[in-house]
Amino acid sequence: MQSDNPPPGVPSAGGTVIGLDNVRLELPLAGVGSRTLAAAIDHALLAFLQIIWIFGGIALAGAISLGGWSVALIFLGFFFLQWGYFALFEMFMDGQTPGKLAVGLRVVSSQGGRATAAAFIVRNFLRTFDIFIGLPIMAIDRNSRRLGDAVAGTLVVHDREGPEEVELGRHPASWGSREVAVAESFLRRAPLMESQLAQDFGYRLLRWIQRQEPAFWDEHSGGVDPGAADKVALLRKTLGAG
Amino acid sequence: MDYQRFVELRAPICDEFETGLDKIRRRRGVSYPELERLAFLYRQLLHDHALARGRFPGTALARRLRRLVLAGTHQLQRDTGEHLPSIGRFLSRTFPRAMRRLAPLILLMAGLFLVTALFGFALTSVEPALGMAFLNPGAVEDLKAGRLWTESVFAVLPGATASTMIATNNLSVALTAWAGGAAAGLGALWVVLLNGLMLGAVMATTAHYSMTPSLLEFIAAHGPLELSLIVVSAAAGLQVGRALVMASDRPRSERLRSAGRDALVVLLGCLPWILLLGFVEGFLSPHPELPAATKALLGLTLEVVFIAIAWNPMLPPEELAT
Repeated sequence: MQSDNPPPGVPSAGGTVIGLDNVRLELPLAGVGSRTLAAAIDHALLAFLQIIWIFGGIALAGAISLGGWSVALIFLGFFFLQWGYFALFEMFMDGQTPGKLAVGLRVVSSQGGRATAAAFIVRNFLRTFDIFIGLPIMAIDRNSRRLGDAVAGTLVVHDREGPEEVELGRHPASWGSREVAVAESFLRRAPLMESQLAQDFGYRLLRWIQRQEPAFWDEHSGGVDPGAADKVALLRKTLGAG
Repeated sequence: MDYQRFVELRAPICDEFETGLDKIRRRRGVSYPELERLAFLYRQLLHDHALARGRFPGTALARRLRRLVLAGTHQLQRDTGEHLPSIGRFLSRTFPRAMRRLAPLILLMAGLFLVTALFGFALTSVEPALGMAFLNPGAVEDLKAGRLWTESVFAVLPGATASTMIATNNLSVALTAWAGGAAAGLGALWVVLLNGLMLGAVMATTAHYSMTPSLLEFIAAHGPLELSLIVVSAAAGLQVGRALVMASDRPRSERLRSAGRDALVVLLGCLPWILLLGFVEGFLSPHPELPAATKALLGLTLEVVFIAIAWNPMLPPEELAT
């Protein structure tokens, strides 16, 4: 049977993959900016580790005399840091390096699952070359993959815990999902907003409910004057949001 | 179904799934029934997610379901790549198969290398000044004084240091050739052409100062295999570049992945040899007391053993993929 869906293993544009039972999943793909930031953090940390390694190695070599082998060991360690830093961190930190952890990124397989060790090695051995050509390739690619991602079959996605979702326990009968979404996203973000702004916006929502849905208002608000109370708390209580 | 009822019904399932996922993430022991339950919940939430996206887009529950489904996909679904084979199986089966698939490209790269080496040799014989571009002034001074530049290098550095430096340098060259191949094959070609040209030019320069026998003696032990390894890793890189550039029936991303897997197998099979060669080049090649014949024999043996392992004449026919 022919279908327009991409074959398994090949993400279509915008990170949409076909999951189990043909359910479409939209992966939250990371763009050039956040990925460059993560890479910058990682390279800074890598350089720091290498400097530590060299100076620590020299100090140790002074204490324990190993002859020519101490220089050899310093060289080897430096080399393995250079080529192994990214691949090893991604293998043992479930697709994350310290830089990716800080920015909130994760490497996943093209289906959104866990990538294999081979994939992590491939995408990071190609990193040396992607430093020169990766940016334009990422900018052109619809899934913002660099060359290493394309060869390894991996994607980089956002993986960040936002503020906890607030679900409405009840809402006026006339509300559709759009109104529910507005109220929920306001209540979720209210603690992060400037308090005056949050109070103003909460007041407008309360007044709206009071005017448009008097029955709902009387039943759930507890007869509090919206002008006087903490508007966000009152809105929470009225809409039964946990 | 209205939104409130949907939330009431689904919130407990979401909570249970979230707790289970957390347990996996923290690497606490997850029993088989628990895992089975998680897989069951995952499927249920996947469908709920599709429903919520259509019916209640943008709501908290739709967003939460999406987040849970994505996290579940990541935790429960492993990429269907093959498992890492054991070292014995890798060396006897996986590596030779990848090498055989790569054979035409290896021959092509070897041919290119030979031609550029001859070209470099011919050019430098006619115009000796070219050799100065590849050798630093100190090395040329050494040649004029009737000794190889390697002698002054190894007189200063202890064998352990020299061999490590050589090994890491060669690994870098091989990795660059390999990774550079992915850039439409240009990087791999560059490494092979440059190394061919350099070898030819250096040969011609040493011939100019009548030092060819000592140079041949120095490179006899490690040279043949080292050049083969550079050619092979460049060919592996070129294979990836070819998948990127040339059209075929299968989608490009899929071809890239299979070419990348093959190329990685070849590279991993070559890495231990490169390390071994670093040791040979650091300790044995500059050794003044080893006779030239022994070094040549060692070089020949290394090369033959590598080819025997890489080609594996006893390779059983490939079993059909299931």
